[in-house]
Amino acid sequence: MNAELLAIPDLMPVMPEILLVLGAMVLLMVGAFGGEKSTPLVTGICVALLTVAGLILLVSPHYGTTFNGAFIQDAFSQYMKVLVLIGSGFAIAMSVAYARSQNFDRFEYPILIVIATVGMMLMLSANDLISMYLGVELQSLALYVVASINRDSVRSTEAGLKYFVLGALSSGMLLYGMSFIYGFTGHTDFVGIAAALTEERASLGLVFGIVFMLAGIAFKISAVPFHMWTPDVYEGAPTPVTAFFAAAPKIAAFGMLIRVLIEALGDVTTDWQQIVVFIAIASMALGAFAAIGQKNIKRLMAYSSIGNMGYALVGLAAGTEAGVHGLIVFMTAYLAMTLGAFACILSMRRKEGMVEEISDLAGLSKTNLPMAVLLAVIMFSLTGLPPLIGFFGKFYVFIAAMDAGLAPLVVIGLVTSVVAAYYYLRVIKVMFFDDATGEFLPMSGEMKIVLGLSSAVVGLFFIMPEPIMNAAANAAGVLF
Amino acid sequence: MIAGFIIAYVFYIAKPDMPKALAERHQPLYKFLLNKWYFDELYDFLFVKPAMALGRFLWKRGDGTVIDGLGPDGVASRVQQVTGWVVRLQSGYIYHYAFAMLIGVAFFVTLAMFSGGGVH
Repeated sequence: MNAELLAIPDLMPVMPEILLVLGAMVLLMVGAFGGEKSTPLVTGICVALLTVAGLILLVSPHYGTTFNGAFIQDAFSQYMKVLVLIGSGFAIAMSVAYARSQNFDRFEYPILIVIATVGMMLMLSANDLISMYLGVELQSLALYVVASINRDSVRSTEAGLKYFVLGALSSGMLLYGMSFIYGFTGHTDFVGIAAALTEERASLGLVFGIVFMLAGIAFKISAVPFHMWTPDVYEGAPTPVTAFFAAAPKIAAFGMLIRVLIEALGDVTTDWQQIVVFIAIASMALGAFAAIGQKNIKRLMAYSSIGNMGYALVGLAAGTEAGVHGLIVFMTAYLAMTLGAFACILSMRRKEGMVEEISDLAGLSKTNLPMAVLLAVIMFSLTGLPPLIGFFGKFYVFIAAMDAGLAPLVVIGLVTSVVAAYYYLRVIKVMFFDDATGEFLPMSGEMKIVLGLSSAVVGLFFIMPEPIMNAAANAAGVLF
Repeated sequence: MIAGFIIAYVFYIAKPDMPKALAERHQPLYKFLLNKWYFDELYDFLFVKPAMALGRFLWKRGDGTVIDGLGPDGVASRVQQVTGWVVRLQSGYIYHYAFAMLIGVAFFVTLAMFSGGGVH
Protein backbone atom coordinates (compact mmCIF):
# COMPACT_ATOMS: atom_id res chain seq x y z
CA MET A 1 0.00 0.00 0.00
CA ASN A 2 1.09 3.46 -0.81
CA ALA A 3 1.78 5.61 2.23
CA GLU A 4 0.09 8.55 0.55
CA LEU A 5 -3.19 6.62 0.34
CA LEU A 6 -3.06 5.67 4.01
CA ALA A 7 -2.56 9.20 5.26
CA ILE A 8 -5.71 11.05 6.32
CA PRO A 9 -6.45 13.70 3.69
CA ASP A 10 -6.82 17.34 4.57
CA LEU A 11 -10.39 17.63 5.82
CA MET A 12 -10.57 21.37 6.33
CA PRO A 13 -11.91 22.25 2.85
CA VAL A 14 -14.63 19.60 3.29
CA MET A 15 -15.81 20.85 6.69
CA PRO A 16 -19.26 22.14 5.61
CA GLU A 17 -20.05 18.87 3.84
CA ILE A 18 -18.90 16.76 6.80
CA LEU A 19 -21.04 18.84 9.13
CA LEU A 20 -24.11 18.35 6.96
CA VAL A 21 -23.59 14.61 6.51
CA LEU A 22 -23.07 13.99 10.23
CA GLY A 23 -26.04 16.19 11.06
CA ALA A 24 -28.25 14.36 8.56
CA MET A 25 -27.31 10.98 10.06
CA VAL A 26 -28.00 12.12 13.61
CA LEU A 27 -31.30 13.70 12.60
CA LEU A 28 -32.34 10.50 10.85
CA MET A 29 -31.92 8.72 14.19
CA VAL A 30 -33.83 11.48 15.98
CA GLY A 31 -36.65 11.15 13.46
CA ALA A 32 -36.67 7.36 13.48
CA PHE A 33 -36.97 7.17 17.27
CA GLY A 34 -39.02 10.31 17.79
CA GLY A 35 -41.62 9.56 15.11
CA GLU A 36 -43.69 12.12 13.23
CA LYS A 37 -43.93 14.48 16.19
CA SER A 38 -40.21 15.21 15.90
CA THR A 39 -40.75 16.81 12.47
CA PRO A 40 -40.69 20.45 13.64
CA LEU A 41 -37.47 19.83 15.61
CA VAL A 42 -35.79 18.04 12.69
CA THR A 43 -36.90 20.76 10.27
CA GLY A 44 -35.53 23.49 12.52
CA ILE A 45 -32.17 21.75 12.99
CA CYS A 46 -31.88 21.11 9.24
CA VAL A 47 -32.30 24.82 8.49
CA ALA A 48 -29.78 25.60 11.25
CA LEU A 49 -27.28 23.10 9.77
CA LEU A 50 -27.58 24.63 6.32
CA THR A 51 -27.15 28.09 7.83
CA VAL A 52 -24.05 27.07 9.77
CA ALA A 53 -22.56 25.42 6.67
CA GLY A 54 -23.21 28.61 4.74
CA LEU A 55 -21.60 30.73 7.46
CA ILE A 56 -18.51 28.50 7.53
CA LEU A 57 -18.19 28.98 3.78
CA LEU A 58 -18.68 32.72 4.02
CA VAL A 59 -16.58 33.47 7.07
CA SER A 60 -13.65 31.06 6.99
CA PRO A 61 -13.44 29.20 3.69
CA HIS A 62 -10.48 26.84 3.32
CA TYR A 63 -9.37 26.98 -0.28
CA GLY A 64 -7.41 24.11 -1.70
CA THR A 65 -7.65 20.61 -3.12
CA THR A 66 -7.85 17.43 -1.11
CA PHE A 67 -8.53 13.69 -1.56
CA ASN A 68 -5.72 13.49 -4.12
CA GLY A 69 -7.13 16.35 -6.15
CA ALA A 70 -10.65 14.90 -6.40
CA PHE A 71 -12.15 17.68 -4.30
CA ILE A 72 -11.49 21.35 -4.82
CA GLN A 73 -12.61 24.32 -2.79
CA ASP A 74 -12.12 27.71 -4.45
CA ALA A 75 -13.91 31.02 -4.78
CA PHE A 76 -16.13 29.59 -7.52
CA SER A 77 -17.34 26.58 -5.55
CA GLN A 78 -17.68 28.79 -2.48
CA TYR A 79 -19.99 31.26 -4.23
CA MET A 80 -22.12 28.60 -5.90
CA LYS A 81 -22.36 26.57 -2.69
CA VAL A 82 -23.66 29.60 -0.82
CA LEU A 83 -26.34 29.99 -3.50
CA VAL A 84 -27.24 26.31 -3.20
CA LEU A 85 -27.43 26.51 0.59
CA ILE A 86 -29.68 29.55 0.39
CA GLY A 87 -31.93 27.72 -2.09
CA SER A 88 -32.13 24.58 0.05
CA GLY A 89 -32.58 26.42 3.34
CA PHE A 90 -35.43 28.56 2.06
CA ALA A 91 -37.00 25.53 0.38
CA ILE A 92 -37.16 23.76 3.77
CA ALA A 93 -38.43 26.90 5.50
CA MET A 94 -41.14 27.34 2.88
CA SER A 95 -42.36 23.77 3.36
CA VAL A 96 -43.31 24.36 7.02
CA ALA A 97 -46.62 26.14 6.47
CA TYR A 98 -47.51 23.76 3.66
CA ALA A 99 -46.75 20.77 5.86
CA ARG A 100 -49.02 22.11 8.58
CA SER A 101 -51.99 22.71 6.32
CA GLN A 102 -51.64 19.77 3.92
CA ASN A 103 -50.84 16.95 6.33
CA PHE A 104 -47.40 16.63 4.84
CA ASP A 105 -45.53 16.12 8.10
CA ARG A 106 -42.63 13.87 7.22
CA PHE A 107 -39.37 14.21 9.09
CA GLU A 108 -37.55 12.58 6.14
CA TYR A 109 -38.26 15.55 3.90
CA PRO A 110 -35.81 18.11 5.40
CA ILE A 111 -33.20 15.37 5.94
CA LEU A 112 -33.42 14.30 2.30
CA ILE A 113 -32.98 17.90 1.26
CA VAL A 114 -29.87 18.18 3.41
CA ILE A 115 -28.46 14.99 1.84
CA ALA A 116 -29.29 16.27 -1.65
CA THR A 117 -27.55 19.51 -0.72
CA VAL A 118 -24.40 17.62 0.24
CA GLY A 119 -24.58 15.95 -3.19
CA MET A 120 -24.84 19.34 -4.84
CA MET A 121 -21.89 20.69 -2.88
CA LEU A 122 -19.84 17.69 -3.99
CA MET A 123 -20.88 18.38 -7.58
CA LEU A 124 -19.69 21.96 -7.24
CA SER A 125 -16.38 20.89 -5.71
CA ALA A 126 -15.79 17.94 -8.03
CA ASN A 127 -12.41 18.13 -9.68
CA ASP A 128 -12.51 14.60 -11.01
CA LEU A 129 -15.01 12.64 -13.10
CA ILE A 130 -15.48 10.06 -10.34
CA SER A 131 -16.21 12.53 -7.56
CA MET A 132 -18.43 14.44 -9.96
CA TYR A 133 -20.47 11.30 -10.64
CA LEU A 134 -20.69 10.52 -6.91
CA GLY A 135 -22.02 14.01 -6.26
CA VAL A 136 -24.58 13.72 -9.05
CA GLU A 137 -25.84 10.38 -7.78
CA LEU A 138 -26.01 11.46 -4.15
CA GLN A 139 -28.07 14.43 -5.20
CA SER A 140 -30.26 12.52 -7.65
CA LEU A 141 -31.11 9.60 -5.36
CA ALA A 142 -32.33 12.03 -2.71
CA LEU A 143 -34.28 14.01 -5.32
CA TYR A 144 -36.05 10.91 -6.68
CA VAL A 145 -37.36 10.16 -3.21
CA VAL A 146 -38.27 13.79 -2.54
CA ALA A 147 -40.28 14.03 -5.79
CA SER A 148 -42.51 11.15 -4.74
CA ILE A 149 -42.56 11.97 -1.02
CA ASN A 150 -46.33 12.41 -1.03
CA ARG A 151 -46.93 8.65 -1.29
CA ASP A 152 -50.72 8.89 -1.20
CA SER A 153 -50.91 11.17 -4.22
CA VAL A 154 -50.97 9.44 -7.61
CA ARG A 155 -49.52 12.53 -9.28
CA SER A 156 -46.62 12.76 -6.87
CA THR A 157 -45.81 9.07 -7.27
CA GLU A 158 -46.01 9.36 -11.04
CA ALA A 159 -43.72 12.40 -10.96
CA GLY A 160 -41.17 10.57 -8.85
CA LEU A 161 -41.23 7.47 -11.03
CA LYS A 162 -40.87 9.45 -14.26
CA TYR A 163 -38.00 11.40 -12.81
CA PHE A 164 -36.33 8.21 -11.60
CA VAL A 165 -36.57 6.29 -14.90
CA LEU A 166 -35.42 9.21 -17.04
CA GLY A 167 -32.80 10.16 -14.47
CA ALA A 168 -31.39 6.65 -14.63
CA LEU A 169 -31.17 6.95 -18.41
CA SER A 170 -29.37 10.26 -18.12
CA SER A 171 -26.98 8.88 -15.50
CA GLY A 172 -26.18 6.10 -17.94
CA MET A 173 -25.38 8.63 -20.64
CA LEU A 174 -23.27 10.67 -18.24
CA LEU A 175 -21.27 7.64 -17.22
CA TYR A 176 -20.90 6.43 -20.80
CA GLY A 177 -19.55 9.82 -21.82
CA MET A 178 -17.16 9.87 -18.88
CA SER A 179 -15.79 6.45 -19.77
CA PHE A 180 -15.14 7.70 -23.32
CA ILE A 181 -13.31 10.72 -21.97
CA TYR A 182 -11.26 8.53 -19.65
CA GLY A 183 -10.52 6.13 -22.49
CA PHE A 184 -9.30 8.80 -24.87
CA THR A 185 -7.35 10.96 -22.43
CA GLY A 186 -6.22 8.39 -19.84
CA HIS A 187 -7.26 10.61 -16.94
CA THR A 188 -10.29 11.11 -14.75
CA ASP A 189 -9.08 14.24 -12.96
CA PHE A 190 -9.80 17.54 -14.67
CA VAL A 191 -6.20 18.73 -14.50
CA GLY A 192 -4.99 15.53 -16.16
CA ILE A 193 -7.66 15.70 -18.84
CA ALA A 194 -6.77 19.31 -19.60
CA ALA A 195 -3.07 18.40 -19.79
CA ALA A 196 -3.77 15.48 -22.13
CA LEU A 197 -5.62 17.72 -24.57
CA THR A 198 -2.57 19.19 -26.23
CA GLU A 199 -3.91 19.05 -29.76
CA GLU A 200 -6.01 21.84 -31.18
CA ARG A 201 -9.05 19.64 -31.72
CA ALA A 202 -10.42 16.69 -29.81
CA SER A 203 -10.35 13.21 -31.30
CA LEU A 204 -13.60 11.69 -32.50
CA GLY A 205 -13.89 9.42 -29.48
CA LEU A 206 -13.45 12.34 -27.13
CA VAL A 207 -16.13 14.28 -29.00
CA PHE A 208 -18.48 11.32 -28.45
CA GLY A 209 -17.63 11.39 -24.78
CA ILE A 210 -18.23 15.12 -24.49
CA VAL A 211 -21.62 14.85 -26.22
CA PHE A 212 -22.82 12.04 -23.96
CA MET A 213 -21.59 13.76 -20.84
CA LEU A 214 -23.26 17.03 -21.90
CA ALA A 215 -26.50 15.11 -22.47
CA GLY A 216 -26.34 13.68 -18.96
CA ILE A 217 -25.74 17.09 -17.40
CA ALA A 218 -28.28 18.82 -19.65
CA PHE A 219 -30.89 16.49 -18.15
CA LYS A 220 -30.07 17.83 -14.70
CA ILE A 221 -30.46 21.46 -15.75
CA SER A 222 -33.54 20.51 -17.83
CA ALA A 223 -32.23 21.86 -21.11
CA VAL A 224 -33.97 20.94 -24.37
CA PRO A 225 -34.21 18.15 -25.60
CA PHE A 226 -33.56 16.56 -22.22
CA HIS A 227 -36.17 18.67 -20.47
CA MET A 228 -39.32 16.64 -20.91
CA TRP A 229 -39.51 15.40 -17.32
CA THR A 230 -39.55 18.97 -15.99
CA PRO A 231 -43.17 20.12 -16.51
CA ASP A 232 -44.62 16.80 -15.37
CA VAL A 233 -42.44 16.56 -12.27
CA TYR A 234 -42.94 20.21 -11.36
CA GLU A 235 -46.69 19.84 -11.63
CA GLY A 236 -46.96 16.47 -9.95
CA ALA A 237 -44.61 16.95 -7.02
CA PRO A 238 -45.85 18.75 -3.88
CA THR A 239 -45.33 22.50 -4.33
CA PRO A 240 -42.52 22.94 -1.73
CA VAL A 241 -40.64 20.16 -3.55
CA THR A 242 -41.14 21.99 -6.83
CA ALA A 243 -39.78 25.15 -5.22
CA PHE A 244 -36.71 23.19 -4.15
CA PHE A 245 -36.27 21.53 -7.57
CA ALA A 246 -36.48 24.83 -9.39
CA ALA A 247 -33.68 26.51 -7.46
CA ALA A 248 -30.77 24.66 -5.86
CA PRO A 249 -30.27 21.59 -8.15
CA LYS A 250 -30.21 23.81 -11.24
CA ILE A 251 -27.49 25.98 -9.74
CA ALA A 252 -25.44 22.96 -8.66
CA ALA A 253 -25.66 21.24 -12.03
CA PHE A 254 -24.76 24.47 -13.77
CA GLY A 255 -21.76 25.01 -11.55
CA MET A 256 -20.58 21.49 -12.30
CA LEU A 257 -21.11 21.99 -16.02
CA ILE A 258 -19.10 25.20 -15.96
CA ARG A 259 -16.20 23.58 -14.13
CA VAL A 260 -15.97 20.50 -16.32
CA LEU A 261 -16.24 22.46 -19.57
CA ILE A 262 -13.88 25.27 -18.61
CA GLU A 263 -11.36 23.46 -16.40
CA ALA A 264 -11.14 20.06 -18.08
CA LEU A 265 -12.25 20.79 -21.65
CA GLY A 266 -11.34 24.45 -21.92
CA ASP A 267 -8.77 23.75 -24.64
CA VAL A 268 -11.28 22.15 -27.00
CA THR A 269 -13.91 24.89 -26.74
CA THR A 270 -14.79 24.63 -30.43
CA ASP A 271 -15.85 21.01 -29.96
CA TRP A 272 -18.48 21.66 -27.32
CA GLN A 273 -19.42 25.25 -28.12
CA GLN A 274 -21.66 24.34 -31.03
CA ILE A 275 -23.60 21.81 -28.98
CA VAL A 276 -24.07 24.27 -26.14
CA VAL A 277 -25.29 26.87 -28.64
CA PHE A 278 -27.87 24.44 -30.03
CA ILE A 279 -29.10 23.42 -26.59
CA ALA A 280 -29.32 27.10 -25.62
CA ILE A 281 -31.38 28.04 -28.68
CA ALA A 282 -33.72 25.07 -28.27
CA SER A 283 -34.20 25.77 -24.56
CA MET A 284 -34.88 29.47 -25.01
CA ALA A 285 -37.34 28.84 -27.84
CA LEU A 286 -39.20 25.99 -26.17
CA GLY A 287 -39.31 27.79 -22.84
CA ALA A 288 -40.86 30.82 -24.51
CA PHE A 289 -43.36 29.10 -26.77
CA ALA A 290 -44.56 26.24 -24.60
CA ALA A 291 -45.22 28.40 -21.54
CA ILE A 292 -47.82 30.44 -23.40
CA GLY A 293 -50.25 27.54 -23.51
CA GLN A 294 -50.07 26.78 -19.80
CA LYS A 295 -52.86 27.32 -17.29
CA ASN A 296 -51.16 25.77 -14.27
CA ILE A 297 -48.68 28.13 -12.66
CA LYS A 298 -46.31 25.32 -11.63
CA ARG A 299 -46.09 24.15 -15.25
CA LEU A 300 -45.58 27.77 -16.26
CA MET A 301 -42.65 28.00 -13.86
CA ALA A 302 -41.28 24.74 -15.30
CA TYR A 303 -41.16 26.19 -18.81
CA SER A 304 -39.90 29.48 -17.41
CA SER A 305 -36.98 27.64 -15.82
CA ILE A 306 -36.27 25.77 -19.08
CA GLY A 307 -36.12 29.10 -20.88
CA ASN A 308 -33.92 30.62 -18.18
CA MET A 309 -31.49 27.72 -18.44
CA GLY A 310 -31.26 28.55 -22.14
CA TYR A 311 -30.24 32.14 -21.35
CA ALA A 312 -27.69 30.89 -18.86
CA LEU A 313 -26.25 28.54 -21.50
CA VAL A 314 -25.72 31.56 -23.76
CA GLY A 315 -23.14 32.78 -21.25
CA LEU A 316 -21.50 29.37 -21.15
CA ALA A 317 -21.44 29.17 -24.96
CA ALA A 318 -19.29 32.29 -24.95
CA GLY A 319 -16.69 30.25 -23.07
CA THR A 320 -14.97 33.38 -21.78
CA GLU A 321 -14.40 34.77 -18.32
CA ALA A 322 -16.97 37.50 -18.99
CA GLY A 323 -19.46 34.82 -20.02
CA VAL A 324 -18.98 32.82 -16.84
CA HIS A 325 -19.19 36.03 -14.82
CA GLY A 326 -22.49 36.93 -16.47
CA LEU A 327 -23.70 33.39 -15.95
CA ILE A 328 -22.98 33.53 -12.22
CA VAL A 329 -24.83 36.84 -11.91
CA PHE A 330 -27.66 35.32 -13.91
CA MET A 331 -27.89 32.30 -11.61
CA THR A 332 -27.97 34.60 -8.57
CA ALA A 333 -30.84 36.52 -10.16
CA TYR A 334 -32.55 33.25 -11.07
CA LEU A 335 -32.35 32.02 -7.47
CA ALA A 336 -33.86 35.23 -6.08
CA MET A 337 -36.66 35.32 -8.64
CA THR A 338 -37.49 31.61 -8.29
CA LEU A 339 -37.67 31.71 -4.49
CA GLY A 340 -39.86 34.81 -4.57
CA ALA A 341 -42.19 33.39 -7.20
CA PHE A 342 -42.59 30.13 -5.29
CA ALA A 343 -43.22 31.96 -2.00
CA CYS A 344 -46.23 33.47 -3.80
CA ILE A 345 -47.31 30.17 -5.38
CA LEU A 346 -47.13 28.47 -1.98
CA SER A 347 -49.35 31.24 -0.61
CA MET A 348 -52.11 30.48 -3.10
CA ARG A 349 -54.08 28.82 -0.36
CA ARG A 350 -57.84 28.98 0.13
CA LYS A 351 -60.11 27.51 2.73
CA GLU A 352 -60.74 24.55 0.40
CA GLY A 353 -57.00 23.92 -0.04
CA MET A 354 -54.13 24.83 -2.35
CA VAL A 355 -54.93 26.18 -5.81
CA GLU A 356 -52.46 26.39 -8.66
CA GLU A 357 -54.24 27.77 -11.72
CA ILE A 358 -53.09 31.13 -13.10
CA SER A 359 -56.75 32.23 -13.17
CA ASP A 360 -56.89 31.74 -9.40
CA LEU A 361 -54.65 34.80 -9.10
CA ALA A 362 -57.40 37.00 -10.56
CA GLY A 363 -57.99 40.21 -8.67
CA LEU A 364 -55.11 39.65 -6.29
CA SER A 365 -54.40 43.39 -6.36
CA LYS A 366 -57.74 43.95 -4.61
CA THR A 367 -57.53 41.15 -2.08
CA ASN A 368 -53.81 41.26 -1.22
CA LEU A 369 -52.07 44.26 -2.73
CA PRO A 370 -48.55 43.75 -1.25
CA MET A 371 -48.33 40.20 -2.56
CA ALA A 372 -49.64 41.28 -5.96
CA VAL A 373 -47.11 44.12 -6.21
CA LEU A 374 -44.14 41.96 -5.16
CA LEU A 375 -45.14 39.13 -7.49
CA ALA A 376 -45.50 41.70 -10.27
CA VAL A 377 -41.97 42.96 -9.53
CA ILE A 378 -40.66 39.39 -9.77
CA MET A 379 -42.54 38.78 -13.03
CA PHE A 380 -41.18 42.03 -14.50
CA SER A 381 -37.72 40.89 -13.46
CA LEU A 382 -38.23 37.49 -15.14
CA THR A 383 -39.28 39.40 -18.26
CA GLY A 384 -35.94 41.19 -18.09
CA LEU A 385 -37.03 44.78 -17.55
CA PRO A 386 -34.50 47.22 -16.09
CA PRO A 387 -33.65 48.16 -13.38
CA LEU A 388 -34.57 44.77 -11.87
CA ILE A 389 -32.00 42.04 -11.33
CA GLY A 390 -33.32 39.86 -14.16
CA PHE A 391 -32.30 42.53 -16.64
CA PHE A 392 -28.70 42.60 -15.40
CA GLY A 393 -28.45 38.81 -15.50
CA LYS A 394 -29.51 38.67 -19.14
CA PHE A 395 -27.56 41.80 -20.03
CA TYR A 396 -24.15 40.49 -18.89
CA VAL A 397 -24.76 37.09 -20.47
CA PHE A 398 -25.74 38.62 -23.82
CA ILE A 399 -22.89 41.13 -23.80
CA ALA A 400 -20.38 38.33 -23.21
CA ALA A 401 -21.87 36.30 -26.05
CA MET A 402 -21.71 39.34 -28.35
CA ASP A 403 -18.03 39.80 -27.54
CA ALA A 404 -17.42 36.13 -28.25
CA GLY A 405 -18.85 36.58 -31.75
CA LEU A 406 -22.15 34.82 -31.14
CA ALA A 407 -24.40 37.63 -32.41
CA PRO A 408 -27.04 35.33 -33.98
CA LEU A 409 -27.43 33.54 -30.65
CA VAL A 410 -27.96 36.87 -28.89
CA VAL A 411 -30.58 37.93 -31.45
CA ILE A 412 -32.48 34.67 -30.93
CA GLY A 413 -32.22 35.21 -27.19
CA LEU A 414 -33.71 38.69 -27.47
CA VAL A 415 -36.56 37.50 -29.70
CA THR A 416 -37.48 34.66 -27.35
CA SER A 417 -37.30 37.12 -24.43
CA VAL A 418 -39.98 39.16 -26.15
CA VAL A 419 -42.14 36.10 -26.73
CA ALA A 420 -41.64 35.02 -23.12
CA ALA A 421 -42.61 38.49 -21.88
CA TYR A 422 -46.18 37.66 -22.92
CA TYR A 423 -46.79 35.00 -20.31
CA TYR A 424 -45.02 36.84 -17.49
CA LEU A 425 -47.04 39.96 -18.24
CA ARG A 426 -50.21 37.88 -18.48
CA VAL A 427 -49.79 36.89 -14.82
CA ILE A 428 -49.58 40.59 -13.93
CA LYS A 429 -52.62 41.36 -16.08
CA VAL A 430 -54.63 38.63 -14.35
CA MET A 431 -53.65 39.94 -10.93
CA PHE A 432 -54.40 43.59 -11.60
CA PHE A 433 -57.17 43.73 -14.20
CA ASP A 434 -59.32 40.64 -13.77
CA ASP A 435 -62.16 40.36 -11.29
CA ALA A 436 -61.43 38.50 -8.08
CA THR A 437 -62.88 35.01 -7.80
CA GLY A 438 -62.03 34.49 -4.15
CA GLU A 439 -59.58 35.38 -1.45
CA PHE A 440 -56.44 33.58 -0.37
CA LEU A 441 -55.78 32.85 3.27
CA PRO A 442 -53.24 35.29 4.79
CA MET A 443 -49.59 34.60 3.98
CA SER A 444 -47.65 32.78 6.65
CA GLY A 445 -44.67 34.44 8.33
CA GLU A 446 -41.97 32.39 6.53
CA MET A 447 -43.46 33.21 3.14
CA LYS A 448 -43.52 36.90 3.99
CA ILE A 449 -39.84 36.74 4.91
CA VAL A 450 -38.84 34.78 1.80
CA LEU A 451 -40.91 36.97 -0.50
CA GLY A 452 -39.66 40.14 1.18
CA LEU A 453 -36.00 39.15 1.00
CA SER A 454 -36.11 37.89 -2.56
CA SER A 455 -38.02 40.87 -3.89
CA ALA A 456 -35.60 43.15 -2.06
CA VAL A 457 -32.71 41.48 -3.92
CA VAL A 458 -34.66 41.60 -7.18
CA GLY A 459 -35.76 45.21 -6.84
CA LEU A 460 -32.82 46.85 -5.10
CA PHE A 461 -29.88 45.08 -6.74
CA PHE A 462 -29.21 48.07 -9.00
CA ILE A 463 -28.68 50.39 -6.02
CA MET A 464 -25.80 48.34 -4.63
CA PRO A 465 -24.65 45.79 -7.21
CA GLU A 466 -21.01 45.69 -6.10
CA PRO A 467 -21.12 42.86 -3.51
CA ILE A 468 -22.72 40.38 -5.92
CA MET A 469 -20.86 41.64 -8.98
CA ASN A 470 -17.47 41.51 -7.26
CA ALA A 471 -18.04 38.11 -5.70
CA ALA A 472 -19.19 36.77 -9.07
CA ALA A 473 -16.16 38.27 -10.82
CA ASN A 474 -13.91 36.74 -8.19
CA ALA A 475 -15.59 33.35 -8.62
CA ALA A 476 -15.32 33.46 -12.41
CA GLY A 477 -11.71 34.59 -12.17
CA VAL A 478 -10.42 31.41 -10.54
CA LEU A 479 -11.52 29.29 -13.50
CA PHE A 480 -9.40 31.14 -16.04
CA MET B 1 -60.32 98.41 -63.91
CA ILE B 2 -62.15 100.82 -66.19
CA ALA B 3 -62.09 98.20 -68.92
CA GLY B 4 -63.61 95.71 -66.52
CA PHE B 5 -66.24 98.25 -65.54
CA ILE B 6 -67.16 98.87 -69.17
CA ILE B 7 -67.29 95.17 -70.04
CA ALA B 8 -69.44 94.43 -67.01
CA TYR B 9 -71.75 97.31 -67.92
CA VAL B 10 -72.11 96.09 -71.50
CA PHE B 11 -72.62 92.42 -70.53
CA TYR B 12 -75.05 92.77 -67.68
CA ILE B 13 -76.95 96.01 -68.25
CA ALA B 14 -76.65 97.28 -71.84
CA LYS B 15 -76.86 93.92 -73.71
CA PRO B 16 -77.74 91.13 -71.28
CA ASP B 17 -78.05 88.58 -74.09
CA MET B 18 -74.52 89.14 -75.35
CA PRO B 19 -72.64 86.95 -72.79
CA LYS B 20 -74.90 84.04 -73.68
CA ALA B 21 -74.16 84.45 -77.41
CA LEU B 22 -70.49 84.83 -76.62
CA ALA B 23 -70.49 81.71 -74.50
CA GLU B 24 -72.26 79.72 -77.21
CA ARG B 25 -69.85 80.94 -79.85
CA HIS B 26 -66.72 80.05 -77.84
CA GLN B 27 -68.04 76.92 -76.13
CA PRO B 28 -64.67 75.27 -75.23
CA LEU B 29 -63.14 78.46 -73.93
CA TYR B 30 -66.26 79.17 -71.88
CA LYS B 31 -66.23 75.68 -70.36
CA PHE B 32 -62.52 76.01 -69.63
CA LEU B 33 -63.02 79.24 -67.75
CA LEU B 34 -66.25 78.13 -66.07
CA ASN B 35 -64.42 75.09 -64.61
CA LYS B 36 -61.58 77.26 -63.29
CA TRP B 37 -59.10 76.02 -65.88
CA TYR B 38 -60.05 72.45 -64.83
CA PHE B 39 -57.73 72.84 -61.86
CA ASP B 40 -59.88 70.80 -59.49
CA GLU B 41 -60.05 67.91 -61.92
CA LEU B 42 -56.32 68.16 -62.52
CA TYR B 43 -55.62 68.09 -58.81
CA ASP B 44 -58.06 65.29 -58.31
CA PHE B 45 -56.39 63.26 -61.06
CA LEU B 46 -52.79 64.05 -60.16
CA PHE B 47 -52.86 64.07 -56.35
CA VAL B 48 -56.13 63.06 -54.72
CA LYS B 49 -56.78 59.83 -56.64
CA PRO B 50 -53.24 58.44 -56.28
CA ALA B 51 -53.19 59.40 -52.62
CA MET B 52 -56.52 57.66 -52.10
CA ALA B 53 -55.33 54.62 -54.02
CA LEU B 54 -52.09 54.49 -52.04
CA GLY B 55 -54.04 54.89 -48.82
CA ARG B 56 -56.45 52.17 -49.77
CA PHE B 57 -53.57 49.89 -50.78
CA LEU B 58 -51.75 50.45 -47.48
CA TRP B 59 -54.99 49.94 -45.56
CA LYS B 60 -56.22 46.79 -47.30
CA ARG B 61 -52.98 45.14 -48.36
CA GLY B 62 -50.37 46.74 -46.13
CA ASP B 63 -52.26 46.86 -42.87
CA GLY B 64 -54.83 44.13 -43.40
CA THR B 65 -52.75 41.52 -45.17
CA VAL B 66 -49.15 42.28 -44.22
CA ILE B 67 -49.36 43.78 -40.72
CA ASP B 68 -52.33 41.79 -39.47
CA GLY B 69 -51.33 38.70 -41.40
CA LEU B 70 -47.57 38.70 -40.86
CA GLY B 71 -47.17 41.49 -38.32
CA PRO B 72 -48.49 41.62 -34.75
CA ASP B 73 -51.69 39.62 -35.27
CA GLY B 74 -50.00 37.17 -37.61
CA VAL B 75 -47.05 36.69 -35.27
CA ALA B 76 -49.45 36.26 -32.39
CA SER B 77 -51.43 33.57 -34.19
CA ARG B 78 -48.23 31.82 -35.39
CA VAL B 79 -46.96 31.86 -31.81
CA GLN B 80 -50.18 30.24 -30.66
CA GLN B 81 -49.87 27.64 -33.40
CA VAL B 82 -46.28 26.82 -32.39
CA THR B 83 -47.40 26.68 -28.76
CA GLY B 84 -50.04 24.16 -29.75
CA TRP B 85 -47.43 21.90 -31.38
CA VAL B 86 -45.02 22.16 -28.49
CA VAL B 87 -47.67 21.47 -25.88
CA ARG B 88 -48.78 18.41 -27.82
CA LEU B 89 -45.19 17.07 -27.67
CA GLN B 90 -45.58 16.82 -23.91
CA SER B 91 -47.54 13.58 -24.07
CA GLY B 92 -46.88 12.30 -20.57
CA TYR B 93 -45.42 8.98 -21.74
CA ILE B 94 -41.98 8.10 -20.42
CA TYR B 95 -40.98 6.37 -23.64
CA HIS B 96 -41.70 9.51 -25.65
CA TYR B 97 -39.47 11.47 -23.29
CA ALA B 98 -36.69 8.89 -23.43
CA PHE B 99 -37.02 8.78 -27.21
CA ALA B 100 -36.62 12.57 -27.37
CA MET B 101 -33.46 12.33 -25.27
CA LEU B 102 -31.96 9.64 -27.52
CA ILE B 103 -32.87 11.57 -30.68
CA GLY B 104 -31.20 14.58 -29.11
CA VAL B 105 -28.00 12.68 -28.37
CA ALA B 106 -27.96 11.19 -31.87
CA PHE B 107 -28.43 14.63 -33.38
CA PHE B 108 -25.68 16.21 -31.30
CA VAL B 109 -23.23 13.38 -32.03
CA THR B 110 -23.91 13.81 -35.75
CA LEU B 111 -23.56 17.56 -35.49
CA ALA B 112 -20.26 17.29 -33.63
CA MET B 113 -18.91 14.70 -36.08
CA PHE B 114 -19.69 16.54 -39.27
CA SER B 115 -19.29 20.19 -38.39
CA GLY B 116 -17.11 20.83 -35.42
CA GLY B 117 -14.73 18.29 -34.21
CA GLY B 118 -13.18 15.00 -34.78
CA VAL B 119 -9.59 14.93 -35.87
CA HIS B 120 -9.34 11.27 -36.77
